[in-house]
Amino acid sequence: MSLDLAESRQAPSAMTQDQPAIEVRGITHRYQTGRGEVLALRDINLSVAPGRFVGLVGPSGCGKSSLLMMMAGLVRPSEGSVAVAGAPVTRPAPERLGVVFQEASLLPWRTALENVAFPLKLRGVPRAEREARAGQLLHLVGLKGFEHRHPHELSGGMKQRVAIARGFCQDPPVLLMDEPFAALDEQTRMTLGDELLRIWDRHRKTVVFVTHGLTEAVYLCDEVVVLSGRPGEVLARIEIDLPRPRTWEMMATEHFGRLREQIWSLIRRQA
Amino acid sequence: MRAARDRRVLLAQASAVLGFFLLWEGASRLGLADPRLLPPPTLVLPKVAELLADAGFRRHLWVTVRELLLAGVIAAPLGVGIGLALAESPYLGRAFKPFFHFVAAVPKSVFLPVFILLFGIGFGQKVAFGVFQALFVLVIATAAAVAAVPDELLRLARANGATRWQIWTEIHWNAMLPLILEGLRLGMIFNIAGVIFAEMYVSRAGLGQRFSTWGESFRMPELFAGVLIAAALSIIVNETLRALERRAGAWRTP
Ligand SMILES: Nc1ncnc2c1ncn2[C@@H]1O[C@H](COP(=O)(O)OP(=O)(O)OP(=O)(O)O)[C@@H](O)[C@H]1O
Ligand SMILES: [Mg+2]
Repeated sequence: MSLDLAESRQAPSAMTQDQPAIEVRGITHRYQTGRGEVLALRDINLSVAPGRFVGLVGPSGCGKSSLLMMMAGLVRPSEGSVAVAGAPVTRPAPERLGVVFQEASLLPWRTALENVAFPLKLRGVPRAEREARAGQLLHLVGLKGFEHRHPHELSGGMKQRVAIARGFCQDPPVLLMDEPFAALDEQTRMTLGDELLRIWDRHRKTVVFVTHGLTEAVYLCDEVVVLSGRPGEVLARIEIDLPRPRTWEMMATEHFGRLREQIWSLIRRQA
Repeated sequence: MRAARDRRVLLAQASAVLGFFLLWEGASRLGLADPRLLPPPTLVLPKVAELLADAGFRRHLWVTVRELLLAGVIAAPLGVGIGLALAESPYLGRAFKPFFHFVAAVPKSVFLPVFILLFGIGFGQKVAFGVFQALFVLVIATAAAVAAVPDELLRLARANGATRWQIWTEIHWNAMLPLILEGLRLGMIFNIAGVIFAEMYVSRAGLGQRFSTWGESFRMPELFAGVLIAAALSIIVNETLRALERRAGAWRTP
């Protein structure tokens, strides 16, 4: 069973190799609230090459989710801009970029299967076809047998897995994932992490992965971007030069520990 | 196990109903209450059958049912439409929502004389008064239903490229339907109260008109039988809408 069910899509040859998959230019963002302005992000510049797996870490409230919403075209930044595959982002483009939200955001009146198939339904894919694909994805995230349950019958971690399966349903070249494994137990988290790496390796999707788990960040990513406390600024970009494919044994190595420690010391100073 | 529990519940309910009628019968027979004011159920219940068999009474009943249905059919789209407009336009909402809350708080019966001046005392006036009774709670429920649509689901739909129409059919419709049906149910209760009250106040036909006539001429068995019929009518309307509400909102409470 595997996540890569779509007819094999060619690697990102469509994008020229030197054009960033995601380019964030000078984003500063303020939220207007009843009690004045909140400066959430300050002068973020970030370029993600096609096919890279990039982690985003930083203290709670530093603007990670906000940055993702701007990449997805759901929030317009106060200043600065985002381009995906060279095209400026002005509104959501689900065929180019998929999002797995921090909250599972499932439709409570739809079954797990219908939730996973929802993006395809919006695009007018026939029911049989979209539900066949959704069924395979549910199997993959370990929810076989739960296809016809409604969200209120699922645990928090199960809901999150439905949301992950939904993120994969459209098979977009760029995937933004906001703490997708936060509600999962260690074992499921590792298994899904490996599965995610496998698809990523097959299709060289570009992934931006927000997490609070430093071990997870080092294990999965090519590069980890560390943001400062609010207002979020890029503190450091740490290259994870561990060989691929990653194995669980690597976590015990000294090098792995050093990388993890490096990120941790940057974050700790923020608190 | 489940079936046994259900049977016990049913048994308890049946004994409660039976007990109620026994008490009523006893109070009347033993002279605890004046039997001329409170006729016993053994007199009232046959009267119910008698009234339902009587063509003259059925004409009155039918007038009331038609008034209620027409008022409901007018109030539902009107109330939902106004509620949607208030919720969707920040300007309209800010400007006019307070008025709906204000008027909703006022007992509508005080406006009845105005309705008589405007619409006379016939069928149209009863319908208009029923609509007026039902409208406000429905407007408020609809506006609240729009506000209760979760932002995260709207964001999810937008992220997946949903059109405006798809956002309405896939998100708003499903999220709002149970709340709107609840508003409609409360609206219908107000509608029934309003129409019967208007008929009792001044009218040539309808259940309420019968009630006031019977009351004035001291025909207690008929009056109590009529009350039972009106109660049954309201309960049927309410339970039908409640069943729809439960079906539409099955996802809300497990
Ligand atoms: N819609 C909003 N209105 C006002 N302020 C907001 C809004 N969304 C986020 N913020 C503020 O912006 C800041 C960044 O929020 P954001 O959700 O992006 O943080 P985060 O890094 O994802 O945090 P966490 O790790 O806890 O998920 C926070 O201080 C938050 O209070
Ligand atoms: Mg967040």
